[in-house]
Amino acid sequence: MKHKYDDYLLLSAYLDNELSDKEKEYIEKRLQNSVELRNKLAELKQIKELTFSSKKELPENHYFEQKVMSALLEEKPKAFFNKKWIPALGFTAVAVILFISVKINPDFYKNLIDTQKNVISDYTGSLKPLFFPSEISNEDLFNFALFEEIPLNNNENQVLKIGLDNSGKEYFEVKKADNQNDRNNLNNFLSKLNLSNDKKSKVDSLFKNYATQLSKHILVGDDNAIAINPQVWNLRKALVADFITLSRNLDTKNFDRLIQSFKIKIPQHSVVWNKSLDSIQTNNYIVFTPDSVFTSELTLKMKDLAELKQENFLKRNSEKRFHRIDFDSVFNQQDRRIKIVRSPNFVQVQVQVEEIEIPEIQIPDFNSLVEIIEKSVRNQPNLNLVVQENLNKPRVNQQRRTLVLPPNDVNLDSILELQNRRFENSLKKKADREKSNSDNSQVNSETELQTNDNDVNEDIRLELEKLREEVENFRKQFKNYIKQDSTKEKSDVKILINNIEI
Amino acid sequence: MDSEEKQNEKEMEQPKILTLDDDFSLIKRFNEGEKDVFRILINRHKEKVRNIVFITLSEIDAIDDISQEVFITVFKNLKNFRYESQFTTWLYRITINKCKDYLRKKIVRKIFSSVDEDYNYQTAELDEKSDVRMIVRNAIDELPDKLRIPMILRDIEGLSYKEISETLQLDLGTVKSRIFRARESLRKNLEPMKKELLA
Repeated sequence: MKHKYDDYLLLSAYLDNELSDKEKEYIEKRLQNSVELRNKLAELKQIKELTFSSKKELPENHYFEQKVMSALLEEKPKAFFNKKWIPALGFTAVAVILFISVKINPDFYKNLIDTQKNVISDYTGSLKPLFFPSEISNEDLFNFALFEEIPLNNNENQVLKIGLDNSGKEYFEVKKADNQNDRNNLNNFLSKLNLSNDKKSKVDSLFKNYATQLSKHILVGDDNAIAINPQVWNLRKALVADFITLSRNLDTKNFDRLIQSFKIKIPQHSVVWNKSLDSIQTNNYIVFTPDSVFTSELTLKMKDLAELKQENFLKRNSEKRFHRIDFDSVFNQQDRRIKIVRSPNFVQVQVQVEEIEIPEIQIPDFNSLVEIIEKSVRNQPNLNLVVQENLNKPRVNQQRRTLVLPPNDVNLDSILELQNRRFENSLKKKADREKSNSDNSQVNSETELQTNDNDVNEDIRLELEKLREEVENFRKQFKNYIKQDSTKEKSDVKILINNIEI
Repeated sequence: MDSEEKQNEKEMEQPKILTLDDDFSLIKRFNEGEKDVFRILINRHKEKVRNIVFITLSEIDAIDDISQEVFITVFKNLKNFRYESQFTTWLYRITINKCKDYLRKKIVRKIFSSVDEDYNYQTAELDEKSDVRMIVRNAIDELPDKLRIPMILRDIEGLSYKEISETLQLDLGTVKSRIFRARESLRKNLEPMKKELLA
């Protein structure tokens, strides 16, 4: 058997022309002598040919090298590190760099933050008080307390207005003054009070104190930047409270008489504001710039300001007194106003928008609707309910199809009663009609229609009956509920029942 | 006249003849930095590689992707090429190995794939079964890889036993015996359809 297998193996290789000369000679000899081997060779040859014939031509791919070459170009150079470590290496590298940079340059973080702050400091750096304490007159402060306005620019009649909107939120706006206030309010006021010089100086010192405070609350810078401390609202409340308290103490009698005509808005809990004036000073300012509105913490050194004041005072004497706050660069239209709403949780900037044009809306033609409604209720019998004074019992006016009721009787029962009567009437009429029609062999189509209507009416009547039962049940339950309750509540409920008829 | 024609024929044939030196010189140039030479190498051998992939896998869809992988592997490893054996044997070895990788992955995929996918695959093949060539090819595909691959390299691609032994890294004797066993198995597989095949 082994011998045979070896021969077959040689035959296969012989077919492939893969035998040595010696092997070839041997197998050719064997083939001559053996039919079996010759058959086997033919068989193997057939298989070999079949295998070759099974070859399917593969269409050539002309773009193959192009594709491979571009794929090779896209392949990234072999990574030095194992790819999965790359993220870890990245973090480590960042950590090391940060560590080293902090070690070498301890101000690293500070510089980093400073760079970010630069943008803000561009605006806030040049900020200084809009007016110095000496520039704020008592009259200005008095008007500030009284009318919630402080003039920013006399020539342009521009004012900073603070106040409360309808929802109780505080706001301020930079706008043109609505009306020219009388510029002599304070003197008028004080002249009405009977004050000695000593007392007048007390009022002066009060205003002086507030002038200092107020100058810190409104800052202006170059580039039209303006910074306002939100605490300006509280400052005004405190000023009003302090001023009222002081002037009332000075001359109670005249003050009480005067205050009526001035209509000063006295803040609630004014004394609290007075006491906590010092504690309400914060350094958070809302800064308005031509391109943004932001909040920023600003520290004012009053000593520096004093020097600045000297410098500026000389300069300003020759100039106009107030800065001009011009928002035109932000908002193109002159009349546009910005409005800041401050609540305990947020600061909101409101910008007045242009009036919106409302497109014309197609309103349905009501006349045609009325026609449709009338058509649909044509077959319904009229329901009239009349309430008549001085009437003890409900009465039915058959001719006018009207139910007349005494005033106290208009309730659900009466309406149900009315409905019931209506349906009973219509049923009666129907029965009458049927009676008269039964003699005629021809059935009137109109009658048929009415019959159908009456079937529907019957359904409604049954439903109303059901509703009445439910109302009755509810009433019983309600009565039980009243009985169970306490006497006080009982009386309350009784009042309720008396008011609302069920 | 005759000699002239013969010479002309020779001249025309010459570019087609691939000698040992041609591949070696190209590889040398490549390793000396002329990376563009690789394009010529691909052009020369792409069809052989694609055909080997095709007959080994009997799948048209995967041919170009696997062939591309083959050449990328060659590109990356050409610097390590020793000029001891023919470039083609080395190339075919890489090709066969890539095909084996693919078949291995396919088996794993098959285990996890749903029955439906398998079914569709089978029916698609059945449609063409009327063709004698398809019958034979299906019978060849049923052979185990270790028998099938040496046989198709010999009978379809026309590789010598030596080339096959180098490509598959087998003894010459083993190649000889496997090719014979493959033919015997194929004959047995085709026995039931003998009549149709002869007709």
